[in-house]
Amino acid sequence: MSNLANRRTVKQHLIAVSAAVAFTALPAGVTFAVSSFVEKDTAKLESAVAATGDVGKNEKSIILAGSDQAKSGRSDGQIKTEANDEIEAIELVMTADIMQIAPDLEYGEYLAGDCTTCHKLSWEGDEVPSIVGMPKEYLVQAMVEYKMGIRVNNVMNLRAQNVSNEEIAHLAEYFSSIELE
Amino acid sequence: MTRLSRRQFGVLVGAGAATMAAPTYLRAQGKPRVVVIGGGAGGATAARYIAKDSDGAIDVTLVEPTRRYYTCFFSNLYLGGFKEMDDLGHSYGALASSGVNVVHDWAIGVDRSAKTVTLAGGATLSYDKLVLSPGIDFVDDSVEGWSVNAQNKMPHAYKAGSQTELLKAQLASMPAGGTFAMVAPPNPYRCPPGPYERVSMVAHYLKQNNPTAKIIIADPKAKFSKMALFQEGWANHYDGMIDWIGDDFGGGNVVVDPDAMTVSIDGEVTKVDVCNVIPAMKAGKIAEVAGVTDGNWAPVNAADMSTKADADVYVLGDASQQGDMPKSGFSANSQAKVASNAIRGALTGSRVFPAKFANTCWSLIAPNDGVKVGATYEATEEKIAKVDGFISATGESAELRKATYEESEGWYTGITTDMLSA
Repeated sequence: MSNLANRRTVKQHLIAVSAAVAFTALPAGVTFAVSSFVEKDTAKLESAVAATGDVGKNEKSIILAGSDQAKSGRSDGQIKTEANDEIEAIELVMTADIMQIAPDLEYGEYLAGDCTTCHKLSWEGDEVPSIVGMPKEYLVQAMVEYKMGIRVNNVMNLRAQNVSNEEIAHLAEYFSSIELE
Repeated sequence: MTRLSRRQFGVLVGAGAATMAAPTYLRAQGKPRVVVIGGGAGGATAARYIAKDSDGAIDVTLVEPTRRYYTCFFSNLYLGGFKEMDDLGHSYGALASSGVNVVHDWAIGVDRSAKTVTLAGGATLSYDKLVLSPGIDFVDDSVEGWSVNAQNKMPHAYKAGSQTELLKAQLASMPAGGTFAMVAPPNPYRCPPGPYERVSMVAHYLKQNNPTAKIIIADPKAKFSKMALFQEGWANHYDGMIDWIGDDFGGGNVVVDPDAMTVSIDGEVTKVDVCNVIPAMKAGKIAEVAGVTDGNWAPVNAADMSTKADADVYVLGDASQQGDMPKSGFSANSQAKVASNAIRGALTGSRVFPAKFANTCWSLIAPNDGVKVGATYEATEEKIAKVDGFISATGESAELRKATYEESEGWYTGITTDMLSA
C-alpha cells in the first residue's frame, strides 16, 4: 500500500482501496460493502479512472455498495465503530477535498430546502437531529460518511448519494453559517 | 456608444446610484404579485418561501378557506389513538405575521387572460403568477352506490378534519365482533400507503378495544404500496383480523348501500358496521375551473411546476400530473420549493437553481413499528423522473422499526414548521 498520509485525489484512493481489498481482512459490515463494490464495479471504476472519468461516478460505485450494506441489516442510524483504515482514509480525504471547494451560500440555501422538511432551523430537540450552526467540517464529514455508507440511515444515505461534492460544500456552508438567537 | 437602451441605462446608473439599482423587474404599478390557492403542504410552503426569500419584493397572498389546518398526514395515527385531533391542527397565524397576506375564503374563479382570481366573498385578486395547490377531489360515481352526499354514513376521511373525527367515532361505536370495511382507491391517489396504514391503525384500535372485530378491504388494485411490509406487519400484530381482497379476487367489483350499510364485493353482500369509502381521486376543483387540467389532473413542466396549459399558472402536490413522484405532503412541500425558486427568479431576477425533488413516506403499522419508503427525483423534458430510492426491508429489528417511527415524528414537526412558521 502506498502512504495514504500523502494527500491525493479521491480517485487515487479509490484505486488503492480496490487493490487493498484483496489483502485486507475487513470487519463484517465493511466487507460486504467493499467486496460487493469490487465484484460489481471494479471494471467500471478502472475504465472510469483510466479515462480520467469523473470522480462522481466512482464515488457512486462505492456508495451503491454502501446502500446494499444498509439493506443487509445493519441498524439504521448506526455510526461507524469499526471502519477500516483505508475506508477512513478515503473519508478524511474526501472531507478535506470538499472543504477546499469554494462555497455558494445561496445555492446552499436552496438545496437546504430538501433538508428542512425534517431538520428544523432551530435547536428544538426532537427525533431528527438539529444541524444548524454546526461546524462546517463536521457536517461535511457526516455527509461523506452517509455517502460512503459508514453512517447508515436510508433517508440520509439516499440524500448524500444524490448530491455532488460541490453541493455538500454549499449545504454545509449554509447550515454552519446559521446563528441561533 | 451613442445611445443607451433603458435597460443599459439602468445598469450603468445602478452601478453608481444604489437607490436605482433594484427596480428593473418591478412592474410599473407596484410589486409583482403571487396568489397561492390552497394552504396545505404545497401552497403554504410556496407562500412562505416566496415571501421569505423575496424579502418583501413580492406581494404574496394565500387563499385558504379553513382557519385551522388539519394535516392529512398523521391523521391515521389519530384513528389508532396515537395522536389527538389537536395535535394535527395548525394555525396560519405565523405565516400571516411574517409577510404572507392570508385570506380565508374560497377561490371560485380564475380568469387566465385577465390574470385574476375571484373569491366567494366577492373580492378579485390580480396576479402575475398563480400557484394552485388545491389537493384532491373525488371522482363522481367511482364507487357504485356512493356519492359525496353519503359521506356522513360512509366517510372517506381522506381530507383531514370532521371526516376523520366521524370515522373515529364510528370505529369506537362498533359492536363487539363487528365488521369494518374499507373500499380502497384506484391509482393514482393521495398518499399511496395511506389506506393500508389506516387499516393498521384501525386494527390496532380494535385489538385493544374490540378484539373479535374484523376488517375487510375491497381493493381495485392487485398490489399496493409497501405491500410486503404491511402484510408482514398484519400477520405479526393482527393475525386473522384483516381480510384484503385485491383485484384478482373481485376487490374492484364493489357496490355499497349507505342506507342498508352493506357492501357487495364481487356479488357477495356483507352487512358492515363501518364502511370507509375512499373513492377515485382527481385534482381539486379550482384546477379544473382554471382550465389547466387534462382529464383528472393538471399536467405540469417538471423544471418549475408550471402548467402545460399556462406558463404563469403553477400546480403543486396532489393535483399535479408530474411523473414519478407519489402524491404526498412531502412531495408537495418539495415541489413547492422548486416552484418558489423559479417564480422568484421570473419576477425579481433572483438566481434559479436546478430542480431537485425528494419524497419520504413513513407509515406506522403498530406501536413502534414504523416503515418508510423514499426516493429522489430530477426534472427531465418529459416528467419528474425518479433517480434513486429505498424501502424498509421485511424482517427488520424492533429497534430499527422504533427508530423509524421516531424519525417520522421528527419529520412531522419539521414539515409543519417548514410550511407554517414565521
